[in-house]
Amino acid sequence: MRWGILLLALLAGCVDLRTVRDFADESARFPAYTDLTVRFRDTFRREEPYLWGEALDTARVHDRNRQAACRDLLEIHRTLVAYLRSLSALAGEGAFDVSEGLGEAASGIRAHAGYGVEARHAAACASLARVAARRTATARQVRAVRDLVREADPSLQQVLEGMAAAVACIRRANENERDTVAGLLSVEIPYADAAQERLLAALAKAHLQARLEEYRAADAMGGKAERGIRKIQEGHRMLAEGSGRLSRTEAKAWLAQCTQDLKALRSGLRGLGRNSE
Amino acid sequence: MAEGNGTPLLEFAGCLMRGAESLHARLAGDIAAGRIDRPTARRLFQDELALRQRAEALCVEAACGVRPGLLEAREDLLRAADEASARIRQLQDVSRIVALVSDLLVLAAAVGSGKVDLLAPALLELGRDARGS
Repeated sequence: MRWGILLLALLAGCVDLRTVRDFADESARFPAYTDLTVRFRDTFRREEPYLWGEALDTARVHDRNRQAACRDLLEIHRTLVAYLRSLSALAGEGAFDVSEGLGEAASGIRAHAGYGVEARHAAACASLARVAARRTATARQVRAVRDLVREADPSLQQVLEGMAAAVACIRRANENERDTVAGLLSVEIPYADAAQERLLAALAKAHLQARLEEYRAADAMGGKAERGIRKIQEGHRMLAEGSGRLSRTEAKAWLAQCTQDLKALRSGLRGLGRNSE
Repeated sequence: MAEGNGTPLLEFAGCLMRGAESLHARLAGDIAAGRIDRPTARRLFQDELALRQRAEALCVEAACGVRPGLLEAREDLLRAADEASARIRQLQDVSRIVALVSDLLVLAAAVGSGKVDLLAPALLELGRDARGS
């Protein structure tokens, strides 16, 4: 009975870090920013067939600057993912695993029950060790997670703010590219009305429709990327400012909802012409 | 978009794009009405393209302008990721200490049983975990 009361008292202090881990994992998996940046990087390859003369020369110069910008923008995302994976690992079950050592301890006691150490004493002793270890570990783990998110939050917010700004640039560029391509085709198609150009005109119209659909999907991806970035910002800010309340049901529910929203956004990205995993 | 990260450039790009749209609307009207031939339409479209390329340059410049602040914050995040790895190692150290404590519990149980032959395996386990840490 005394053991039972002690075990309950120790377990009561435990905090579930799963919500933190799920949030960090889902945030790290969110792909829209990378997909958009890769698409932005490849702008010149897509628009080159529609350009000529001075416009083509100018586009080539812009492409060099764009390539340099995209290298850094992608690298920044890789760093963000590395941080989120570290946070997930720190909040993970594997960060502190006492099961193996204590399992051996328990079997060491039980194996000699016949020598006077009663089985119930052995079991209680092993359980106590396990719970005490987990309690100590969880407390340290919660503290480590809390310290990490608090220390990293200003930089993370800055990175995410910059990523949102980059997405805004990419969306505007996507809109401009769409109008460039559609503009050229809409100038050329009306003149392809001779009998021998009928097939060419039909193909051009189909091509225009396909391209417009592609730009629409890219813009939708941009919208989801912006919402995803805001969700990650909100979730991490809550962790940094309110991680002391992690054990509270509302905080957990709130973060879990954030994770669900990110999952829903990621799921909505399927079928939008993702160009990388 | 936050201040100081390309908003004015994007706004200016938006102005140029609207200008290009106006040019295109007039061009499309002239083409539909049959007022201009193909070479003229292409030449006029070049003017529209020039505006669009300037808008594109501003978008790229705005994206480039985002980088400096990000690269600085990136260094801090990298440090935070390293710090997390160090903290995981610390937690694992605690895990090893807990294993030692549990070995001591086993040893105490063995001593409590009063049986000498229980002491050897308990001591061996303690020694193994002590070497591991």
